[in-house]
Amino acid sequence: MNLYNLLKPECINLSLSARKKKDVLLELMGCIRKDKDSDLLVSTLLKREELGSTGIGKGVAIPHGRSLVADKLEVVVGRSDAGVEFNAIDKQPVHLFFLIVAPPQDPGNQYLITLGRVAVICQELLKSKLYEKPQTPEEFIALVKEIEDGL
Amino acid sequence: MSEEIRCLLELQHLDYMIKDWRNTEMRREFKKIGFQTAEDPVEMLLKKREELVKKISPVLYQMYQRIISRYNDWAIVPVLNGFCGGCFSKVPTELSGQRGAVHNCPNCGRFIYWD
Repeated sequence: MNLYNLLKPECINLSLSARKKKDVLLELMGCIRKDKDSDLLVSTLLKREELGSTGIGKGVAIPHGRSLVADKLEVVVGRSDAGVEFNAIDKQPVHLFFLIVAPPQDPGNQYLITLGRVAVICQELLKSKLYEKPQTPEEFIALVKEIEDGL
Repeated sequence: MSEEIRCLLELQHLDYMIKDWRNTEMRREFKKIGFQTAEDPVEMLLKKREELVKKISPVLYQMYQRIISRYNDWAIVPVLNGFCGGCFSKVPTELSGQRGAVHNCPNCGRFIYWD
């Protein structure tokens, strides 16, 4: 399974403006849903965050959740130059987000596989802050592809 | 979307989460990725569920439980292009005129809502 196949330019925001947890989740969700359902999904994502932040440290967060509102697995990427207070495990601001939303029942457990894959790719993107280099969503996808081809 | 529908949807989302956190393989993977959580996430989620259930009328909650135990998947589904998102049968058009109210699919009985 390759992550770059799941990435779409319209679901990559390389200049997030939000600075707070709820706002950034709304901004990320805005890439896939612009209706009132996105609010409901954000509420679910926030409940997940209350269990423990999905900010896994070193400036990366992987918020995730399941909902019938999602008809297929979606991955949204967000980058914030200023950083977002996300209550990450290392208490540092988050600069790179991978939001994963999946339907409750997905064939082959793609949700879990994608989560694992994102975590691996994030480790590579953090090396020399590679994630800061792409200037466009297409460049970001190309970078992820390059990383995956080299794995 | 009415408040009742919203609460039912939130309950369903919470139930998906509880199911995930009860799954040992899932928890192992979460840990591997580096997610740190409360000591007992399932218990924490069950408490949240209890709070949410208080906001739902007992009749609706009983119906929700009955539907979930019958189908073992979802109790509340969207109406998609006039079809029930659970059993895919046609939803009578007269129901779509009362979108604010809580309705059940006449075929499968699941709660239905319009996007």
